[in-house]
Amino acid sequence: MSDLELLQRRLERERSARKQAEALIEAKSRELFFVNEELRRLNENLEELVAERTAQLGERSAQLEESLSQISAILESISDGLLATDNDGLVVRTNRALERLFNVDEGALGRPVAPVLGAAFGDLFAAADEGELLRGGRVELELPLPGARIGKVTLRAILSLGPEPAAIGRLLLIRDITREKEIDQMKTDFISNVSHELRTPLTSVLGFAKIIRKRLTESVLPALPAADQRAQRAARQAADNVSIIVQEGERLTSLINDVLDIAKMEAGKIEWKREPLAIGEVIERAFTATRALFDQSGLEAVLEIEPGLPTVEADRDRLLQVLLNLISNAVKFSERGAVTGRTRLDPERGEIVVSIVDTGVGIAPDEVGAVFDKFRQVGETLTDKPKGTGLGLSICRQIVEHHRGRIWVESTLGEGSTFSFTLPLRDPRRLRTRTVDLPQLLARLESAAPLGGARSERPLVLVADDEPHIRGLLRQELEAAGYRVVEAEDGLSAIQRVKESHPDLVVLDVMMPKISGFDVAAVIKNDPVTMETPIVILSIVDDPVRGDNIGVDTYLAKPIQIDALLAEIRRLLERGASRRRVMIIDDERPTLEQLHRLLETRGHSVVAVWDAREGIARAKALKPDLIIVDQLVSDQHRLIQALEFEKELEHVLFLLVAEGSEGG
Amino acid sequence: MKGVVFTEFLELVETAFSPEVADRIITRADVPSGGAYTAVGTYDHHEMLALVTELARETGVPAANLVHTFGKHLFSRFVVGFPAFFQVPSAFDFLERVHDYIHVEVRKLYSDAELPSFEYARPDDATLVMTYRSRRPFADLAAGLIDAAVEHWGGGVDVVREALDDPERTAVQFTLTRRPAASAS
Repeated sequence: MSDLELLQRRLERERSARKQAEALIEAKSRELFFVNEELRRLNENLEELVAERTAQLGERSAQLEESLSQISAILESISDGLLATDNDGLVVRTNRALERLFNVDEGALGRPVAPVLGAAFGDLFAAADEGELLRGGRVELELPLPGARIGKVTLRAILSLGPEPAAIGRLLLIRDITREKEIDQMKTDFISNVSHELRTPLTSVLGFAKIIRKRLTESVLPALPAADQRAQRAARQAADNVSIIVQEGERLTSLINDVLDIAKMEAGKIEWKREPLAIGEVIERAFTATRALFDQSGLEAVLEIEPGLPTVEADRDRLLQVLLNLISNAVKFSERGAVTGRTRLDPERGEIVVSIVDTGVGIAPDEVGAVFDKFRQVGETLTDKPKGTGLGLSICRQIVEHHRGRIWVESTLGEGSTFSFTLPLRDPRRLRTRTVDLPQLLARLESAAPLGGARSERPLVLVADDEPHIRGLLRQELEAAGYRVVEAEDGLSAIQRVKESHPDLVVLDVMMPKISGFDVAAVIKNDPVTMETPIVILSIVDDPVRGDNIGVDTYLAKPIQIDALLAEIRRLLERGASRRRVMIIDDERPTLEQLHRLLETRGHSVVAVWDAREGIARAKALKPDLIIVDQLVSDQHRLIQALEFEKELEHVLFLLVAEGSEGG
Repeated sequence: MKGVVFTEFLELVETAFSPEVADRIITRADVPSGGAYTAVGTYDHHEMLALVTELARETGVPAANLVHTFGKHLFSRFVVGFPAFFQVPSAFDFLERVHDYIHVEVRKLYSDAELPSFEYARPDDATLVMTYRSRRPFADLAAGLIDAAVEHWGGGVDVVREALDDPERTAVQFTLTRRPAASAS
């Protein structure tokens, strides 16, 4: 085989291989073309699809945007301020109302609550009970807003929707209730004004009705000839009718008092006293005061008071009001059986439970929940004669709740009811008991040199009131009781009369033209000549504290309870001879109040101060017969030494009261 | 079988022996393609078997040895032709990528390529077990490629070849064991 042949064969093979390769390339090119075509078509499809999806997305996002802007518009249209935070307490949303209320802008977003709304709101967020919020609970309270406005604030958790809601933040709603508060205040003022306006004529109606009744029974009836039966009967009937006027007048008075009480409590206008007291003693007093009711009804009064109960801190008069209300209700709704006053100590809850148990008609189960509502009367209003104002229990509830207690009723229809309330025990850390030997102290006080002069046979009483009816009524009653009377129709003439005729006692109205009763009292009490003259304030203005500060001896509320007034006048005039002016200086208010009360019930005039420096100044002005000083206060301020060097106080008796002892 | 295997084979025969030997084995094998191969074409693997058989007869060298040698030559051509596949630190790394990466890339270019399958096992860090399975009897070619790979990355690996019992296919297990460093050279 020659080289040439070999080369030719190789060439032939290479050519053939080249052709194969060319054919392959051509096939591949064709394939590529078709693949390209396919790719182009796919690309077009894809573009169509993308455009379609983009349009859908755009539509969806427009819908979302619309619904978002709708939600925003709703939030912005809410007239309450709205603020939402995330779980870290950072602000995520506010609305215009809130921005206006707090004068903030969108800059609030992303910041904590306290610097945006104020520390009080920060505290609210911090103090809210987490678990309670997560259970869907809310915190509601009133907080001051900027610009002397008041807001009603509601805080709750924002819970996610779905089967297992989780908190995604907090929501705060703030309603500006300044206007509502103002209107509420106007309503309260209106009620109290109307009540005052009602009481003035009622005082005359009631007073004169009583005088007519007295005249009828004491003067007219005995004077009628016994034979003239017609005249006798007519006069007796007239006396009965007048009695009904008196009864209804008294009912109307207590209704007005209740309405006024409720209005004052709701407006927060009551001044609450707090003193340590033994609840058993208050219950006993309540039962004593209602003895007449028991005598009339034939019901038995039972006391079940646990011995050795700790004291509670409460307003004695208000608690008495609650008890009187519950007891008189119990008597009213019981025909036979007993009314029981019961106490029980619940050491676990740290409270005393007081119950008034009756054997009366009971309350239907569906009415039990409503008895503490205002104007609620148990029973059918159309057929049962209402026996009260329907405000008593509502007042009770307000009083008890003010003492941080609870009030409730358990009842079985036909078997009786048990009204119970709780009083929390005092914080034991604040208890600091002190024993003062009071009887010994009083004995020492009363054995000190007597003061005062003899009074005339028929004491002269000045009656100052701008209402001629009231003056007339008082004149009749006082003269009937054996007093001489001089009248004054306003404050200015009252002061003149005091200076001219030196009355033995002054009865003052507060609201008088020219000079008010308080100012008249202040003038009398500051004049050395007249300062000893006892003053009785008789007014519809219920401000005994102010009266007390001026030195008014007795403060009585209108409508006039003639018997109480006469008793008070008698007491004050009799006291003149044996009465001591006592001053107590102590920094412990409970001790001070206890002494104060005790000495006052003994007829002494008491001034209490709890500041040593004030004590010195007041002692110089008042020149008391006795100064009782707490040992500690005296030591701290060298008080006795300071007082003894005062010229006009050299005859003053000092009593030093120390822990567990007493000395002079 | 891809045309590149044939063109590389014939080139190797022409340089290792002579163009005359190449021409003779083509003529004697009487293959259907007439020995005209292009690297981009695809040919029946029986033509390769026929060519190898004729070369063995011509040279007196056993066919298995010839194919093994060809495998090693093919590896060196691949290193030149497709350098990207060889940027790995060791023969183990390279061989482990043959089935899941290199063959996958080959299929992207030549959808009609018929490739053997490899299974891997690493009983320990120094050992790689590769099992070759193919419908065609080219385990020797694989052995040549594996040996060339070991050499390419500096040797130091013992390769033990063991035929497996598979009624349908050629199945061979290669156990590669890295020698301890001291005796690596």
